[in-house]
Amino acid sequence: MLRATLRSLLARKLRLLLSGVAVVLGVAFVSGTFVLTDTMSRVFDNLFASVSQGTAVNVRGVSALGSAGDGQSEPVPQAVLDKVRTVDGVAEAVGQVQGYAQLVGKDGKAVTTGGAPTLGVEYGASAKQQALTLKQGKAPAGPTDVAIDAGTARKAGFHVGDTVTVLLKGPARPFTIVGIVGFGSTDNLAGASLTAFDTVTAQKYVGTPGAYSVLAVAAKGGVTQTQLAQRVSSVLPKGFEAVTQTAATAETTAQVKKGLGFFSTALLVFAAISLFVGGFLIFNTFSMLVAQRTRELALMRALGASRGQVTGSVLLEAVIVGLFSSVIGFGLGIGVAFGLRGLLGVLGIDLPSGPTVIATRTIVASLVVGVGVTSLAALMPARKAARVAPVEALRESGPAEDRSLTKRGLSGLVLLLLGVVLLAIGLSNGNLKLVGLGAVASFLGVATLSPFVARPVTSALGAPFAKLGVPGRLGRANAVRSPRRTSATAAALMIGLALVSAVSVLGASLKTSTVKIVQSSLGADYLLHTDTFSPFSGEVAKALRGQPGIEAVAAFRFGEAKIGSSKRQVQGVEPDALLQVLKLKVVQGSLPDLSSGLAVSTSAAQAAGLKVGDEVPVTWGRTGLHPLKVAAVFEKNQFAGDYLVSGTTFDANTAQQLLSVVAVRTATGSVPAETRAVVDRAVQPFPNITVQDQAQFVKAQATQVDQLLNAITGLLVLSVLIAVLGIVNTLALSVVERTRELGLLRAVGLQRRQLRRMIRVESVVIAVYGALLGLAVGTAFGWALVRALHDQGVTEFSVPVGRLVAIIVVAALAGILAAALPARRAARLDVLEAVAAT
Amino acid sequence: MSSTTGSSTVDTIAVRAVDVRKSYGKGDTAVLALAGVSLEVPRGEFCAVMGPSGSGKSTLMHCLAGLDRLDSGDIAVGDASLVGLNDKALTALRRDRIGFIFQQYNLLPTLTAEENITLPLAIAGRKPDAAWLAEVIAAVGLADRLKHRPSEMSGGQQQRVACARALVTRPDVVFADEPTGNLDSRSGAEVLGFLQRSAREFGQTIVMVTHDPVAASYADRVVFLADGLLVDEMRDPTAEGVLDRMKRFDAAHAALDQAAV
Repeated sequence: MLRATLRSLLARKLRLLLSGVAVVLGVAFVSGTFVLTDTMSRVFDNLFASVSQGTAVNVRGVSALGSAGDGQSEPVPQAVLDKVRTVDGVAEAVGQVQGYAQLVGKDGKAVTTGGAPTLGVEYGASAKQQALTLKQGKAPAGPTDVAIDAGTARKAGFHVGDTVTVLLKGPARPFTIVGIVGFGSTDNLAGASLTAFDTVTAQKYVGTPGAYSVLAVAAKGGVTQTQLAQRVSSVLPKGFEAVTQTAATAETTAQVKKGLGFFSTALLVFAAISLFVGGFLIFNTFSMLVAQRTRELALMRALGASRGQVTGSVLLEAVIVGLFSSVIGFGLGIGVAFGLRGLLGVLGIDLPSGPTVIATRTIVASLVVGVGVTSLAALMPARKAARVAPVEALRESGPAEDRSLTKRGLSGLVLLLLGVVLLAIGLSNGNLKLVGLGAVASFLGVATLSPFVARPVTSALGAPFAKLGVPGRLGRANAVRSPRRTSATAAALMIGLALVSAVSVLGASLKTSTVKIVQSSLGADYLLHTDTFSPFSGEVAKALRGQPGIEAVAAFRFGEAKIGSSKRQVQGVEPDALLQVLKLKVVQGSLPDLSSGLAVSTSAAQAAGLKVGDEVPVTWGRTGLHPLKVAAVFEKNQFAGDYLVSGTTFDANTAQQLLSVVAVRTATGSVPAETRAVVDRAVQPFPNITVQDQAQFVKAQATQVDQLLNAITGLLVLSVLIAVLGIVNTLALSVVERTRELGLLRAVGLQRRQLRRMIRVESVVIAVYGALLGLAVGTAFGWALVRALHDQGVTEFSVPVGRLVAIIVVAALAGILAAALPARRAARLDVLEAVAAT
Repeated sequence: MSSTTGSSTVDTIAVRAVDVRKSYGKGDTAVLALAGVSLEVPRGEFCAVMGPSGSGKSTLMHCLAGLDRLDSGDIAVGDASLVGLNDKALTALRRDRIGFIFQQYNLLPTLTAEENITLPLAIAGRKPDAAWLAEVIAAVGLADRLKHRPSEMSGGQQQRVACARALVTRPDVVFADEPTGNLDSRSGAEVLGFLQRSAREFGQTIVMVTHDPVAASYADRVVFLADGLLVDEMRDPTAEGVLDRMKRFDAAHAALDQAAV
């Protein structure tokens, strides 16, 4: 039996190769993701360990929000540092400062980091506890000196001796670059920009004068980190804590790993999609192989092979294909990881160098996933093979389709229903795992039900081709003749295209909703923010206030606080300007009372059972518990969020006193061109700020949505490619199966060109059918997503007709492409051999 | 297609082969399938080609039908020589001037009986001549089966569909390759009777390869092939006569085998 399996494998190399490719690609995606994130994680571990080598204990303010080291805690005053220095066992204690500083490039624009932090830090005097390494020039040692990281210097073209403007939380200031530094052994910290000042300058401009973000304490010989932490702890005033460096490093690496975890999960989702599509391809290939081998299998049964042996032989074939593909995919994945790393480097995200990490988990996962998907997909065909009766060996007729349609219909309906229910529950709870499961079940359900509609739909799709002559008519007939095969092939394409259309629908709805939200909730004429909505200096708002034609300036600060016992997004803003820049409907209470209180949206008030006058316990990261009275309840407004406090309250309770958005209302009767000029002039010293009127804001949001849409579509291209491969495979197998028909057609005078056209038509009909299924399912998914996100501001449902039509056109083109090889093969068939083929 | 000089051989000969040679393989392993065969089939003749296995009868038919290429010699169907034609021209020639009947029926399962019959016309983009189509369909006795698909018909019915398909283009010649090989004797007799009538009533030229003496007895003439050469022919054959002639081949082979031992 084993020998028979191996023979059959070798005899169908090409077929299995094609289906194997699907597994190879999926597994490569999986192993590439693991190798890349493992390598990055290891590299960061090493980096953080090496830069904090000399430090034994960290002293910092306790964060009341429980997220230690997030920069939201109280700065450590000089007095505490002085006290720590006297503790027995302390070899050295230095204060470190960290905050916002961003360079202005030589082109006058802010040097951006693509979302990574723009950090301002102190360049400490201690050689022992220094994370930065001086690469060129000297350390900053004066009120106008800075050192910048080598990565940013290279990117922005700065050299030692250059003058540079640095954007700070206060007014921007000019500095002289005196040194180029690295972070440990690397040029920068994963894309973040570093600007280092001497300690006093850092305190003045990026931190708090006379205070530090954190103290780094070195131990004398023979004192352990834990011992020192205990001793230091005993002298600290309330609100400060001493943590061992091991614990602090663990916190930092945990954050990095969390970030990497998101990254790898996102990539793995796309890998899973590819593998799911690949599963269809495997299923289809094995189904067709089993059908074609009916007589051979029946012969084996007639010769005494048991059902189990037949199932086993087909499954063994699948396992061998899976194993082979997994090994190749695993190897390819290492290459993919290198490629991705190179890509990140090109994007300016310098990753510290380090050895490539190939964890045992990666090897195991690759093999398990590859072999698992292949065998799972081959399970049904294998069981079908076992049902071949020995008598089939003697029958003349070709493979027949069995007709247990009722069973199929029922199981399809059950799957679809299950999928819809899981989707509904998942979406309403925000449980993404359920959403994923629901999507998988829905896809399987639609694929199972698809043969019921395949015949009429493909027949209708092929009708225009049938009008164009015999090749079109025959191609259409071939696409229609085996609804199951057509369905399984089309289903693979459906999955990728459904996801593309779902995000397209969501994107279009987002865009339409943005327009609506801006119209209904925004009163401001101009919005000011940075490109990445990163925090910026409060000076921007000051520069605008009192300018001619400007009626109101509202500075929005975004932050977190605990309302009651749960963490919420809180915005701080000037109460008097609020009503001018937002179309806020106050339901209860009044906004001017906000100055010392809290304003809550109707939905949040309802959820927490709050009304005006209630006292709410609000816990801030820096200052801890401060109860606030509810001053007003307002109707849900996407710009206001759920919780509003006054700017004064916000600044008093948070460490980072930066703005996220400034909204400007112009005076009635002012000329837009003039006010725009006023605003532009006022923000001129802040090149990181973008000024947008409402239309520009809407357009910018739309552009962002499109970018995200394109990125997701790009990641889905792989699954679509695999599906196209599936069409190639089906057509190739059909060509083999229909050899005699093709021979006859050639014998009675069908030209090669016509034969190729016939196969192209079949391919296009299958592809467009898959696209239609995808569009239908995707639009339904999109609708469900939009409904689920209604409270997040996606209030409008919009179908991007143009984009969806484009998807169908692309699918048709993919069909033509997929037909190329099988059509060539069919046209090359030797007429004589083909006619006589069995 | 038809020449104005009514008496010329071009007009009276449907298929002509002149010193056709064909071998397979190369060097020492080459097998000579046709060692110089010349044959003329006049218009309206039902000609059977017989011979023992390996005599080259199938190869001859394939070459005559433009399905296989010659090493040397010439073949003409009607006034058109097949030698030197490219695939496209050969395909067009098969479509317009040749009809085929295979042992395995070879119908398209996706098409109805009627669509299968008119397939060559559809490929050529021609409208069927309604009267002729009706006549052919009546002759094969399929008028009530036209909307059926091949899977809904018996083997004999399927082969009659194939016969009608071969005749519907009014080809210069119909080639039938063991047309009764897969049929029981009654269905076989129906098909052979139809072929005979096609030749006699419609003047259809037919070349049939068979190894069945009974089938051959329906033909106007039987030509015998042995070891790639035309060795004998028989006019107005009877099944017994053909069987006797074939037995002599067997005896000759047996003698040859004896000599080899």
